[in-house]
Amino acid sequence: MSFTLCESEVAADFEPLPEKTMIPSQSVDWLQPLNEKLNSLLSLKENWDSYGGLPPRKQAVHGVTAIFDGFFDEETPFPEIVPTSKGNIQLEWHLPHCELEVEVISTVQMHLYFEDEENGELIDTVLEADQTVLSNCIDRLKNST
Amino acid sequence: MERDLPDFGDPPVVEVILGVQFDAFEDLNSIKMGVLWNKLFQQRFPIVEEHGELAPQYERFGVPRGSQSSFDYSIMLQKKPPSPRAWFLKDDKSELLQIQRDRFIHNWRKLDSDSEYPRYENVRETFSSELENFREYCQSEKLGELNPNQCEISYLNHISLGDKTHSDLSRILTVFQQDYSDQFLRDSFEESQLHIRYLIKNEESNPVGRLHIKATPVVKLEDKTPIYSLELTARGQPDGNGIEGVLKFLNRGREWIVKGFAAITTKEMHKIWKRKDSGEE
Repeated sequence: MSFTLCESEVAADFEPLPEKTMIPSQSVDWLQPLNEKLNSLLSLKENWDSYGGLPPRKQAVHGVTAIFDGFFDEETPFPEIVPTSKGNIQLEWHLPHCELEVEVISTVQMHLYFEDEENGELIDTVLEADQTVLSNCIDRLKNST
Repeated sequence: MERDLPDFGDPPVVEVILGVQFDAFEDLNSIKMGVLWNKLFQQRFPIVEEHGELAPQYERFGVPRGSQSSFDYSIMLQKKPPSPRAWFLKDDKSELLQIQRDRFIHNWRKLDSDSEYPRYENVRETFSSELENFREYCQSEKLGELNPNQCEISYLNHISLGDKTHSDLSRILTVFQQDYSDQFLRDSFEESQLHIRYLIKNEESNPVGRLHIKATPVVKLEDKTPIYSLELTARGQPDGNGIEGVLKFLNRGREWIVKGFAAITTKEMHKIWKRKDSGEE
């Protein structure tokens, strides 16, 4: 976003934008289902649930991709990805002994609910920029599969 | 100049950028952007350009991969055309406002070697008053309320050592040393670049942002001389609500940039830039 141009900086400032929702899949095949799911969510219209539900907001979609980008690898269990009536997107993992639900409002606004039935642990919290709790919960999911 | 902050008589700064990212005004399309320019900015910023939209950027903490993205993604709502990033420039092109659905950015740049850096307080004053005008306009046009989610301040420095090639970066930066274990490569140096990230913490030692320092070899357009571009960017969450919270973060970010700049640059360069304070021993 600088406007003092040097020769090697010109190209970076004027890169053309891609024309569609995309996550390059050639190097990360396991992310292809995310790409398909997000494209389908982006096509939802107002009242998609016949109860006046809002279509997923762009900030929520960005938030989901940021979670995959920051926390996921091939070994992370793939979540259910569902829209909410408020225009947010919820990621859900329902494993035999633990559950994790993350309602994504934006990249730095989430509501996290985690329950471990084996030891009775319950976490119900709001996350902003510090997402250490989410990191720990996803590690727990990976270890329990 | 505030006490405790390093002060340079002839700093190499060529551009200062203050910006805020906020929850998008989805209805701020190119037509409304034109009306916005006409009503608010045309007199002070008469030159208009259109550029591609900047992707959202957030600093997050406790994330395994930090802000290092492992894949690039972009989201374009296919039902709507891409939203523009409007550039509103002053007549002499020394100042720029960049506005898109979720960004408001103010740039000041040095046009020639005689023009003097107007100092942070003045650049911040322009940024905050124009941002307030923008906020009021969006509210009155029912585009929505301004809800900032990230703030950013950048200082871009151009550093020349008068050489015909890109000089050894260790003459500029204390954190870069050409110290080889073997003779191999010792005499083959061509150029270097680096990107270092530091956590910005608040008084309670909680992370609230990051300071990014990037050194890049570039060539000046006007005379083709090789120089290093040293960019220091502090980005993070607003420190409170509204524009006040944005300015509080920018003040903190500016302090990190000024102190960080003095900390990572060499004393040889401090003499060239006429450092006024004594610095830390």
